[in-house]
Amino acid sequence: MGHPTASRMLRPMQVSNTRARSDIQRPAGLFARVDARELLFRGLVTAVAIGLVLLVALMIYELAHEALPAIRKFGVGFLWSTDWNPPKERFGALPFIAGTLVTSLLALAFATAIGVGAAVFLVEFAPGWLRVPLSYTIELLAAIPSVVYGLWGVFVLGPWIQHTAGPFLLRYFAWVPFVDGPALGVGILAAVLILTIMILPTIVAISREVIAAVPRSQREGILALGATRWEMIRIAVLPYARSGVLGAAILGLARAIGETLAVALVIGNSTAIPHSIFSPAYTMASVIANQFREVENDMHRAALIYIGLLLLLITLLVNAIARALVWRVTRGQSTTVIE
Amino acid sequence: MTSAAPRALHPGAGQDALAPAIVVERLTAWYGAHSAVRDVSIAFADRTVTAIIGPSGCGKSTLLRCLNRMHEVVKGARVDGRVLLGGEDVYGGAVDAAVIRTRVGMVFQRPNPFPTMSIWDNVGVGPRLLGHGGHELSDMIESALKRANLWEEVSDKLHTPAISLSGGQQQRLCIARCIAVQPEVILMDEPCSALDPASTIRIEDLMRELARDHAVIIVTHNMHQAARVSDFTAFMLADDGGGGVIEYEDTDTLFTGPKDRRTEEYVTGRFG
Amino acid sequence: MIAISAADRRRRSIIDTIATGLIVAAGIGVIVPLFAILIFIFFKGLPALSLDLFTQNPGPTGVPGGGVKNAIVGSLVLLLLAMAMGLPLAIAAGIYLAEYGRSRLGFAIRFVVDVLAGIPSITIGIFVYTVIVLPMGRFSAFAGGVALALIMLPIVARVTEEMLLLVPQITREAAYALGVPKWRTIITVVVPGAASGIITGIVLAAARVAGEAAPLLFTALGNNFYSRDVLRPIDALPLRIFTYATGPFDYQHEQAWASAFVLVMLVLALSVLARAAIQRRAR
Repeated sequence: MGHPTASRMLRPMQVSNTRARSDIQRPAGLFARVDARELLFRGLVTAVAIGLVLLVALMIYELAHEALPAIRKFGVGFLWSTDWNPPKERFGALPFIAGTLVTSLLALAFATAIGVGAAVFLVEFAPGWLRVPLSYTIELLAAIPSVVYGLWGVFVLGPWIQHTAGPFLLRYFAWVPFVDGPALGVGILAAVLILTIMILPTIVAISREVIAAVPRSQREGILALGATRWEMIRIAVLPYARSGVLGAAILGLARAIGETLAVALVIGNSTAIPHSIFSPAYTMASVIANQFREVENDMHRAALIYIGLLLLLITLLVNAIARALVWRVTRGQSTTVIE
Repeated sequence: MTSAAPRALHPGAGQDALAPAIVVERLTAWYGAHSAVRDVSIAFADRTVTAIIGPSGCGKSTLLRCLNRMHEVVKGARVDGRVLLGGEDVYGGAVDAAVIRTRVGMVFQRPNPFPTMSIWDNVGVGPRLLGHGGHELSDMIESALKRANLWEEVSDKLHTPAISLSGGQQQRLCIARCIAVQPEVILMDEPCSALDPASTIRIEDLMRELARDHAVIIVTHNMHQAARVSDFTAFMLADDGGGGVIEYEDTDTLFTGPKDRRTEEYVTGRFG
Repeated sequence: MIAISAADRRRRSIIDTIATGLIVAAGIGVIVPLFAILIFIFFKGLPALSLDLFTQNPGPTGVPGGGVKNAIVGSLVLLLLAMAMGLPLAIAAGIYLAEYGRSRLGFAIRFVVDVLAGIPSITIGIFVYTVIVLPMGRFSAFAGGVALALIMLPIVARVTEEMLLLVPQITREAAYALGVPKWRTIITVVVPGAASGIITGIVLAAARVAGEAAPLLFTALGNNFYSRDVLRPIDALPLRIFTYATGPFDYQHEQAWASAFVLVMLVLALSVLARAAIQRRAR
């Protein structure tokens, strides 16, 4: 009686300890020591990334710090005072805030109307061969530097407004509120037109993406009910894309608010509140650009930095809202528009 | 592949000719250079459910989409032949495709309610486009939801977003949206393939009810569904030249005693 | 079946046609401004080009002639400074976002980086003024370089992240499976794999930054004389255009157009090259 000896019992193979590749270096134990270099690298890049966040905080702090004398003296009333008298150290930012709001919002309205139209054209109407070259050309608009827009504004757009568009508008549209006064080549209208052109590429690029992302089933669903092409766009496509388009518009708004040099060259530089589209004016960004290098006293500089602080906070807020909206639609994929 | 007779196929032999709702004559449909459907002639009877079955790629969805001129929405697609709705060719010269689509409605494979609109607004889109409003519109919407067997489930939340409904409810919503414009023909392209079994059964029941007033034509890859639901079934197959109708019978005959060997092989599961 | 009136159909059809017309007009019309600008730059800038423009410094104010050599050189110096200071940090941030930043913290940082990209460049100029120019007691090319670096940072960081994410995960895993630690994998495998994309992004960012003048107004300040000194004010092409555009003399306007021509050609050339590189890789 014994165990059944299976003649074919499997035996473990004899493992030879002499392996051919015994020259390979291996860590001694099974678990390597914690790699200090990995921690160092990771810590380094993380620190840089966090540093960027701290940078923004530092910006706010520094600007607030330098603007403190003006903040202390004028408080929140700075925002609605129209006094701007450097020698007498009396400062109020309302004309500049008004200028910024008027030019940016008007530019936003025009650019959104034209830009969304162009985006719809690109997605729904443009023949295949036209799509890429056309999008590309629109993006080129974004690559032109701001000063060059300003230069063109001074020597081309300005005279055109003064001699052609202005008289035309005054003749036929003087009944519209704010269309008034002599048609100068500089002023609100010039700034609005330039800003519109400058923010168009942003709006077109992002709107195009979100409109193209509307699923085919949505378009077919409404076509199957007997809709015309425009009805399809109006009822199924645009509402679906609406938060993305809104995000694009707000991004454009942020860009318009911060735009400095092109506006500085055509806005006419007046500290009075504008009363017509042909009035010269100032925006927050352009007043800083024009006056900073010739400040008359410390309070003047502090007041300008106060305006800079306001500008920073406004653009941070608007940008945050816009990015949140665009993110929601594109799910965090990059819409980094390099302008 | 040509169908056996050049005249439009009517279902079955010896069947009293039921009034045809939509008649296809020698239809060929291309995507670019590739013909998906080749020389098909078939008459779909009114007030019945007709199923089109066949293996993937046989052209059944393409044939369906030609009936309401949705085929041409795809770039590079074109069509040859005639499709007669009430005796008139829908591909005729002066015909507006959008008008045809209000008479031949479609329900899609995946429910596609408009996400930015409420249940109420979704159903009302069609009638609104046609100019209806006010009380008349409300009545039409309510009636459509009732006929789609959805009214009871949504009557207390008509103005909530349509996408808050379950998949099966969304598909019934899409059916309500389709019937709100009172089409003569309802096309359904695998309407239950994205749904669970319970919802599927509800929609199958709904199909039979709708057939009392409309011609219902469904494409399905599920033979059992076709056997359960339809009065007539057409079996399609494709070869290199495109898809064609192999056999077209009343459903019982097609499944229990098909005349063509290929039909028999398909319905007994030997291929496809 | 609901009755459809022919009048209704016609009305809807007309609306469809009008809407189509407006949309097509917007689509084509949107490039009209671009051509308007390019045409003028071409016709006003090209004739004013001369060898002097590139080889001479500005003469005394009011005296015609001279060139913008100091501005061209200044722009180059500023660009080099900006890249030297900004690129390492930007790439590091991009590496963080792509490789370690797929978490809540990473999400927040990415958001801040995007917001940073939207800060007006003049605000960045004021910031650099307060933290560098004031303590140093002087305007300098260094300060200008810092300002430009801050503008470049978020752009390059996001592009780096995007390009790194395009490197397939299996490539990384191949390295891990050989026992290569993560940090080494990133440096020797992932970054080189994304290198051409990152370089393209850098070129685009450089093109953008080369045209910026607002942040230089109170940092580099500008300079009528030739200078390569990092610790002195320095001129830049966009700055000079700005100054000349508002100047009273004709020769200044001409040189402004010519400089604009050069600047735009440069920026456009870089953008076109970069886009072409992207297209090629996308195939």
